[in-house]
Amino acid sequence: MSEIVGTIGKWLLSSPPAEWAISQLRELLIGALKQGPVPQHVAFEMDGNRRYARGRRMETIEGHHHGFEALARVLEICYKSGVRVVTVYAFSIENFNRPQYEVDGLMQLAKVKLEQLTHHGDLLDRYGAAVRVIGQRDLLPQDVLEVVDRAVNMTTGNKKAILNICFPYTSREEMATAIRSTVEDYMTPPEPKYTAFPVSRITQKILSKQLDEKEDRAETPTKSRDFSPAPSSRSDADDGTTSSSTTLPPGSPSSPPEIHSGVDGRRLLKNPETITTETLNSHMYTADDPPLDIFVRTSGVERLSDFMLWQCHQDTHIFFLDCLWPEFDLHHWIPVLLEWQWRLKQVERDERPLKKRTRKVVKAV
Amino acid sequence: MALTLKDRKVYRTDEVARHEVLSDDDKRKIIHEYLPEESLEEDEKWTDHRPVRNGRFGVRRALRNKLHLLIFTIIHSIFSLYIRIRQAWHTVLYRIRSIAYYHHRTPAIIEKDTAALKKKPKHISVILKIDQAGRQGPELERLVNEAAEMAVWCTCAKIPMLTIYERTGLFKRYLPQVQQVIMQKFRSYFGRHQPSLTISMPHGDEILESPAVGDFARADPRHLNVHFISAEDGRDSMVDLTRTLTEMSQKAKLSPKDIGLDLIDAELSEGIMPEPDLLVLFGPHVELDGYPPWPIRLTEISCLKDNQEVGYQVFISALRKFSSAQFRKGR
Repeated sequence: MSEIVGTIGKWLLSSPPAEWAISQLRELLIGALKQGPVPQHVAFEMDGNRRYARGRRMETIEGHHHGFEALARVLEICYKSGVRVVTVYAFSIENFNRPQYEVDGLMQLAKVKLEQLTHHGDLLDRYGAAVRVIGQRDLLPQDVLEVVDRAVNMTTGNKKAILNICFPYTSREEMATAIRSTVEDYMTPPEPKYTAFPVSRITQKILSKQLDEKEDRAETPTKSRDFSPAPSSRSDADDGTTSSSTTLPPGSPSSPPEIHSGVDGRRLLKNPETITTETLNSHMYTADDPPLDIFVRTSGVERLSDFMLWQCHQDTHIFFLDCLWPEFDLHHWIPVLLEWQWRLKQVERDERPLKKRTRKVVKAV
Repeated sequence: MALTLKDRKVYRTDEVARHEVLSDDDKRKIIHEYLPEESLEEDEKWTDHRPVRNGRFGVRRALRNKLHLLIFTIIHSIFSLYIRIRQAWHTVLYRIRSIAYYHHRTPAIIEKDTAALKKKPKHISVILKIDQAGRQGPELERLVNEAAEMAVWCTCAKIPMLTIYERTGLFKRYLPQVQQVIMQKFRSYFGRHQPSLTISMPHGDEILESPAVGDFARADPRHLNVHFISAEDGRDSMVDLTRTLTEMSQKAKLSPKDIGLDLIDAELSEGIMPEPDLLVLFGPHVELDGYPPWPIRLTEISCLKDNQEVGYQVFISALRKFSSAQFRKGR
């Protein structure tokens, strides 16, 4: 009996009017949630495809395909609700340890999906999303890499939203790469910038002027001091500190040019002390993206598993959900978003009286 | 919107048949159904103030906006109610549990609680938070007391390493006092028997050690290492490492090519802390609050929803959860 009711229910739900109503309802909910604060950057760790497949007695790779459908669904929900950047963990470097056929299947899946994206790119421009593939790209097979590049280049002009696909990625590798590239940055001297005002010419001018002045002074010593800097005056010392090449002792116009290059050569490498957290941050894959607001991991595992460690260890709200990734849908996302909005409101409320109090104290003082 | 049943069926058949069922045009047609309306703004940039469109749909749009706002308010009031109920329920639940699982300051009870666990972490880490609004004196006392309790529980559970994270680095300034309090706690739990204890912090010259006394010296040797870290051991320490590596490279003592995961991992795990197996949060939700990013790669994170207190039942339920967790490492 219950089976019949179930089938009828399913049939009713999948009938066109019901489907239309449901989709209208979803639109309405998304539109409503948009009225509050919206996270700018959300990361998803798509876990549970294989368990889903096992539970439904299908092949592992089919589970991944359903996972991809879930991804499409989630992206749509996110972009419609106003999220700018979505980062997904598609493939970990550790995943290369999986059975070969599964790795091949996943690569094939990525290739086909990205290829389809390039075929219908003109249509997808309407979403205005740029696709970026971040991670250790040199581990990818050549054919996949080509498709990746094509898809990335095609969408690179889109500015409304960004999809970061981490493929193949681990966060430690990202941090190590960031450190290495920072070091490399500080190893290479900055390119000699082309300027319309080359240093050598300016020094030449100054020197010749000094020479002239000397000659002038020899003739009329009192006059020159009034309107031009004398060689031993303060302004000369200032020059010495600001530009590296005016270390010439005043009054020695014939100093050899080797001194210039010697001083420059040492100066050109940047000082390691100027490295800050921002420097490292700007070498991460997500350098241009807004800070991570929400981190979601599905399938009930409560670990970060080498994903977005650098990005999520500060004030990101981390959610561990019990559902498997292919099942993930709007009704899992809404509670997450609601709770996030609610916490923001709470924090705001806590901070407001504090501010008032401090202001009063200041007044009392 | 999400695929309708019919389309999903077609899509999946196509997938199984290696994309030979649908032609490109068919796919285009399907996609067309699901595309959003063409956006009117030509070059919508990432700005917060979007140009207001006036047109004949102005009224309809305004109405829709009002409707959305109304629904938003309704949803949020319901959710707010739900969360209050949930919090109340959790408070009651945790209170009952903390009575049921109370350790009565008896090591034997804690040992019995943990003996049944299949798997125990070798390195446990906790995040303690200072209440910024409170006065510093009592706050410090509370924190140190909590840290000491934790140290005793770890000793009872035979976990050899405990790392305590506190954002501002308050503990680091009072290491000798912390050691005193932990020893006192040991005395109140174990009597005259004392396990050997090491207290350390990254970049700290002094490592405070105290020897084992009584039973713990010979019959049941146990050692506890308590390590204190703060926010500066996170990103800042990685910046420091980068600076050092840069300096070495500039002096040609190191080639940037040699900088890899292994080198960095060796440096950070030796200089700052090794990877913990379990991270216990005592806050109401999962937020890492600046905890060092490098070591928490595979750490099991445990947090009781809506929990506000530092208590034994949080600790023990984290251990229970850890013992039932699976580790697959990407496989």
